[in-house]
Amino acid sequence: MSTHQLNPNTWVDQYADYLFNYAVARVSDAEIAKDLVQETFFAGLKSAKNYKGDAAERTWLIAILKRKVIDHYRKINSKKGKAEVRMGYTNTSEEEGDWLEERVADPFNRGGDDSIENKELGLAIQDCLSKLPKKQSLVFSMKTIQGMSTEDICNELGINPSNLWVMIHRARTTLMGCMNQTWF
Amino acid sequence: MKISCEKATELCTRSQYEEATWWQVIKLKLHLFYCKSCSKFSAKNSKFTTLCEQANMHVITENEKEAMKEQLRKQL
Repeated sequence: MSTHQLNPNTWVDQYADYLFNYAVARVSDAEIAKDLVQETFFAGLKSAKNYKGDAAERTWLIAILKRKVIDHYRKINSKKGKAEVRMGYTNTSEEEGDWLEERVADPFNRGGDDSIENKELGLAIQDCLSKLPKKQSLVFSMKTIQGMSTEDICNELGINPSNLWVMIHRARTTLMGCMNQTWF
Repeated sequence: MKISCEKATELCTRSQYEEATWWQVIKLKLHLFYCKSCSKFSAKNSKFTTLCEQANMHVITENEKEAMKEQLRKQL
């Protein structure tokens, strides 16, 4: 029996930022990352009937996104000079696929370097952020991630500065609690 | 001069974005001088700011999200 269900209508609100951070950490280009996220949603819709419900929705989407990232590297690799592509890796096509997969960093394989830790950190914050009330997380990310000015945010959302600070303060307090064990 | 812990922690959050006035900063500093639990909170808050910077996060703006939803709706 399936324990999870797909709700494509809520995908963008619930997972777009999380998937985007996952992608941006791997392709280092915001525009490409955005396209990959959109493609992931499309692919998710297309293969929704294959979803068995044994993985959570987000995990399932991440798995698709991972393939999209791999495909992206395959594509840019195939545009390069052939000599560069075939640098002594085994020539059978299946094993070549394996190699490319290994190149795409996996958040569950902890490595020694900082950038991997930062990828995890971004996703951890994003994960906690998705548990906040919508308005709080919006205000927090406009201020902290987009670095918008207090005035602009207030104008855009129709709130006053003291509302804004109360919301940011609550958001931060909850986020710190959420991230507590691992990161502090 | 004296402020409540609630007020102090909120000022502490403002100061993380460098948007507390100098007078607010002085009131906050004074409070932190004698209040241990707020000092602790303040240290954690600063650490969280550092973490947010290190994380190098990105967001998709609300407008872009709307566009994404629209695209998805077309496929449904």
